[in-house]
Amino acid sequence: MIDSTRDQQLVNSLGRQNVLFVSDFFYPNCGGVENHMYHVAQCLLLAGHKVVVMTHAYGERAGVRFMTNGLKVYYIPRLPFYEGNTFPTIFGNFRLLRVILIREQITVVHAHQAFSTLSHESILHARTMGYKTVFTDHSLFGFADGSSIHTNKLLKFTLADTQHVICVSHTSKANTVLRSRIPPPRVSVIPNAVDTERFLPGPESRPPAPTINVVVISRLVYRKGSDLLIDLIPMVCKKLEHINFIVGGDGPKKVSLDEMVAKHGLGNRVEMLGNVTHADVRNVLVRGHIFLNTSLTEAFCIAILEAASCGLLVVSTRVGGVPEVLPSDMLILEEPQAENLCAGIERAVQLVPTTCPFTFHDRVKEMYDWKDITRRVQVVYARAHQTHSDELLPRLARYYTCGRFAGKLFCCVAVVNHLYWGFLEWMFPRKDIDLAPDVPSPGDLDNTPETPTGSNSNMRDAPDVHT
Amino acid sequence: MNNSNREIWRKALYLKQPFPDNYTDSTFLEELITNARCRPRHYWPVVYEATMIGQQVAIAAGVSAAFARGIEDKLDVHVMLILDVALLLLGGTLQLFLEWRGISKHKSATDVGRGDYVVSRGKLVQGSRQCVLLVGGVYCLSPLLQTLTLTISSDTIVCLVVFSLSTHVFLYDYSFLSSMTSKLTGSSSLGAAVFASVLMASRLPDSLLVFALILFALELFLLSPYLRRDVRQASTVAHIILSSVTMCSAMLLTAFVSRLMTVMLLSALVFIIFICPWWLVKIQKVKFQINGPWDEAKLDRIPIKNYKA
Repeated sequence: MIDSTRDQQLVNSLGRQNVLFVSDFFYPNCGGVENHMYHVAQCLLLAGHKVVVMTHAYGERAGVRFMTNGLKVYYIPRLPFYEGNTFPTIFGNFRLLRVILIREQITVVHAHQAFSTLSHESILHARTMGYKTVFTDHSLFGFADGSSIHTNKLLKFTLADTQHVICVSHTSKANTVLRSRIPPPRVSVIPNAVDTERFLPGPESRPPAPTINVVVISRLVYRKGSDLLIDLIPMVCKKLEHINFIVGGDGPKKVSLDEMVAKHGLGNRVEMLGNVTHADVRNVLVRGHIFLNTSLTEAFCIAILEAASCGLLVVSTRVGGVPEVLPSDMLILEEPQAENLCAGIERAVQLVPTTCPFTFHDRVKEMYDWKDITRRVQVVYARAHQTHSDELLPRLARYYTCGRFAGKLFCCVAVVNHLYWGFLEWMFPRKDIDLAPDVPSPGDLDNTPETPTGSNSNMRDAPDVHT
Repeated sequence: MNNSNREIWRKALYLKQPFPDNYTDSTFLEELITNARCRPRHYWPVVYEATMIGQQVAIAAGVSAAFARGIEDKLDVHVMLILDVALLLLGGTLQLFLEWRGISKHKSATDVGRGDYVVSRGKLVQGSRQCVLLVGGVYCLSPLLQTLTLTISSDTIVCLVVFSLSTHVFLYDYSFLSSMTSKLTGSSSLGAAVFASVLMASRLPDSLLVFALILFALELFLLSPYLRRDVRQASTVAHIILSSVTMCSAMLLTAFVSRLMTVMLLSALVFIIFICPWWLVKIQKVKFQINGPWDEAKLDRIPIKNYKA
């Protein structure tokens, strides 16, 4: 573990950071990205850093809010316009972002998710002002269709001048490197983790001996392989007698699934739960022996990790980063075809009596831990701080290489943004912006029992994202 | 460092490996596949396919030339009417023949019985009824169409006609003509063609001429695709002959109006049928398709058009 000591040195040399997380996706939304941001933010707070989140307003939830452990969230007044994204205006958020950056004395800007327009714009503005930026990519993209081509070009622009990139799996890293043409050493692979304490096994909830429950929890959409499920369930029910299915989740494909259940008369063997809240996921998972994931594309797949933590044997399609997540004795991989998955379930059924849910749980706990993930994120921040040349000219040189036309366009955007920054510095001088008082982070509280001043009046009841 | 390098890196997230997070192994991008599903294209097959576009351009040019001639009042109404009827009868007979030939080809000799004649007769009745409705409708509407755009300047009309005919050619459902789909779609394209015909008809001097020319346009824009598709499906030689005849007649029609237009049509056709395929085959070399484990898995059971989640 020679490198880990080097990493440790990097972390130790890092000092206290004020990190700004930016993404269009955050609580009250629920999903992989939101979950990841929340947990990393909490662990960074525990490690003594300061974390501020910037996202767009969610309905009534606008302005500044505080969440667990003093995690400060700016819900900026921007309306989502397509799939939860704010309207891309390129320069429109600069004024507000600049105020936040100065007020919170930010040292690192960490943007999440390539879909998010707010992330892309914030990185551009933060770089204009000379801040170090880190970007986390959570999803996989194709290369062939129109929307992918445009998103990839935009990503190329953003990542050309980002100090370090984090991907959630090695497959995702390969994908990101191909899409944005950045040097691979500038991309770190740091997976998601799972809060194992919240996903404890409970074998007592399982049905008596011969019956085996297969649990599926996913949004019922095409990309999650619902069509595969429609073919697979009757096939398995016909072949294996003691198998029952529990399907949790909602989506456009639910109607087809209901139709399939009615058509094959499987009402007593397939239980359709509809939407399952994140708090209930564990209670559904522990009722099963086998977890089935039929996704057609997946960068990481946190669902199988939660299932394994609850002690379920996982059967999954071999797509994206899924094969990297769990070792082969916990995860049965099959090609995304109903026949193959059926064979996979048969194999899993034979293996179920030999598996111990508690061993599974302990192994997952050993493998994935948010604290470890956060330590690795801190290494990335340290690496970001080791880079140089934040001035306009070297930045323009990097943008210029992005493409024959796009490169010049990107340079224009960067220059205009630079001028706009100058205007903002003149119009709203730095000295007029108040600095936000620090809420003592939970790490500090043990050492210095100092009460925060001023910010208490802003505090509201912090809803816990753990739901 | 030496110590750690001796260990083999594994592509797994669950292991605590003695490598930094930004370590890039020599196996990086090994799973990248380039141009896996790329069919190489050859020149002559592409030329053959391009004749479909040539046909459509020729038809658009031919119809507008006929209208132009009509607007100049140099077109005999009776000749035009005879041409309409001849085209309709010729096309109808050819279609029926192809259909009959198609049925007898697909079924063995013993199967050819009364049933097939019934199918054909049903189609015949249906076709004739539609024909009568179409002809009657156009005839009744023609006085109205003739004065439809009296208050609008001719420049506007010309501009709109050019625009909508280009729209027609660009948005046309060529996959139907190539028998890739079984139903003629692209209503905006067909709509644009009809719109252009009506606009041009509104400048004609005589309502009977309006009737004759609108019928001519509708026959070519709405009915001919079915015939052209069946001809193409039936035989390569017949398709080439039909294409040549279409293009030559279009050039002949334009020649009556203006030499310049003929030259332009000819160069457009040469460009579309011979130069563009050459171009396409040439730029095939720079085609670079990448696939890898990050691709969305494709399910065989679902037709491509339903792909959206």
